[in-house]
Amino acid sequence: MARLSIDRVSKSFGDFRALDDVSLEVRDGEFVAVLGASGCGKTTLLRQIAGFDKLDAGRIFIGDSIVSSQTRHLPPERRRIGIVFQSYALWPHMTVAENVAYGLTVAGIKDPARSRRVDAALNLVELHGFGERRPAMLSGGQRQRVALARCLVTEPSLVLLDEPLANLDVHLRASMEQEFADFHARTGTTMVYVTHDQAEAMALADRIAVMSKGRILQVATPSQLYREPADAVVAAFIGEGMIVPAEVRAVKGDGTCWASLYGYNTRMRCDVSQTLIGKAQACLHAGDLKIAERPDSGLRVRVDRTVYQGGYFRLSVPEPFDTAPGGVIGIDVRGGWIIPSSTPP
Amino acid sequence: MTLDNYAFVLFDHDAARRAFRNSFSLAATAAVVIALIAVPLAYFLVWRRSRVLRLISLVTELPYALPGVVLAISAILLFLKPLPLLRVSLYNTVWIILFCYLARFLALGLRPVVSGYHQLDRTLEEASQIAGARLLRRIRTIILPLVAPAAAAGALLIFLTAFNELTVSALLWSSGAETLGVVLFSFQQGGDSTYAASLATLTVIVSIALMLSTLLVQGLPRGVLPWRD
Ligand SMILES: Nc1ncnc2c1ncn2[C@@H]1O[C@H](COP(=O)(O)OP(=O)(O)O)[C@@H](O)[C@H]1O
Ligand SMILES: [Mg+2]
Repeated sequence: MARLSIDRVSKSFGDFRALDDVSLEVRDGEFVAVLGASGCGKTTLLRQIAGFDKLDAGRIFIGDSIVSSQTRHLPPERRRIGIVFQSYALWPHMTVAENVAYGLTVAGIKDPARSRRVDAALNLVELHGFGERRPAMLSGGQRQRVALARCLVTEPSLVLLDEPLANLDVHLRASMEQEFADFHARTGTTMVYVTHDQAEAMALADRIAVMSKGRILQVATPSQLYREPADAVVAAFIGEGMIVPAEVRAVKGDGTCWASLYGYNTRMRCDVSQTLIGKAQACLHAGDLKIAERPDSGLRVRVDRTVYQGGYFRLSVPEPFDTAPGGVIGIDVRGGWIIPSSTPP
Repeated sequence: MTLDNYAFVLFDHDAARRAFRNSFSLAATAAVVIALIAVPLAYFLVWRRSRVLRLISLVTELPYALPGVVLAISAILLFLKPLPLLRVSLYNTVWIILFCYLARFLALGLRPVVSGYHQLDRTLEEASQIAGARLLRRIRTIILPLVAPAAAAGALLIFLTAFNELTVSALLWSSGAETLGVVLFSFQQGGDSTYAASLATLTVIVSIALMLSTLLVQGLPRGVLPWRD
């Protein structure tokens, strides 16, 4: 059992609140990504789970046992988890094989079994034959895979990964991403994967926890985050959502509503439980919009700037919408989501 | 001045021969013991930020900053009476000199190790902690190998300083426990300045040989040994 349960955890450094009332449930075998901009507290959260720092408030459970609270603190060496550090943290005075074997040695596993497992772990990350090298002689991608092998060799039931791909070239990332996904599928290990890259989080995670300024804003599946962001910060962060003012005119109770965008009436998606009408904010993605057949239909806007993006153009339209002649197009809105927290009570 | 003078102080003069042996053992012991103390001490000082130890580390600066004579007199006052329980007296033995060397040069050996910890990425220790290693194993398998170059540099500085030290041992030496500094000084005082010069030259040669040997060693931390970098 490697359920991870974080219950209202807070952590301050001096006056600065690095974690503010953070709660997160990770089911056994689940792959959860923690997504947020640099400095939002992701590493701090991982360090709490690992037990490197004591928390100020809240509780953390691994499996069914409490590992952190104000009165109890299980030291990291007894938490039986694996970590892939952002800096890899390979021991420079040991060979690759010694790095990987370390956790097994500590666990008292002796040599025929130990070297067999080290070989298996190195094979798994396609570093067969690199055992005798020093970490300093490896490329970034290879070091990253040694770090992964070292973490996996002891078969921990909970693995924490701190931006494991951030220091790699773009072309290496895709193949490493695949490796993480394969590994997770094969072993069913519970994984918490910290990243600032939403494409990475979307590609890998069962669920994503979006974090900002020490708080978790929303925990949801990737498609739910994209289609139904809980608030404006998430909406703007995920998939380049555009936030526009909307007026909800009528709620149908089936998850759709009629809304007006700058006087243009359209049907939008909204929360099934949404009952309030009136001013709100809507989240639009490029896929929700389509240039109207006739420029005098749809939402009429003036195009300020067009930028070729390779295969498509990005159009900028300034607010307030100005329909003076010249460069005016109509936009049909074919979707969009009323942000639940945006409707005033 | 001929080679005979060197031969005399090296082979014929009993006190000079003993002084070579004594100073060498005292300096080497002090260097090794302090290096071994400095590694765990600096660990708690730098990474655990222990307040008590920080106070203690300030105190370790004191015997180094004070004049050697003051340290020697305090040691005499401390050890004149036999040690409680053990009933042995360190006074008039070589051990009182060793004690003073340990006290005096701890600060010298601690400094490079402290800066070694500052240059080390702590996640290296945390990675071994996550692998299940307790503190003693972490120190032995991860920390010691990584700060060993800094500790060795500190030990070398201690050896070089203690090897031709005079001010502390001048007050503490006893027959059979002479140091190089003491014998050299007494040659000079007794008008045997050619012997004094030979002895001085020999200690300088040992020091320079040791310093040069560090140039051959790779992987010493930067900015610790003043004659490197
Ligand atoms: N030990 C610490 N002391 C003081 N401030 C810290 C410490 N660790 C992290 N912080 C601060 O907490 C915030 C979150 O840091 P971190 O968790 O490393 O962010 P992320 O991993 O999301 O980039 C940062 O503003 C950082 O400066
Ligand atoms: Mg970080």
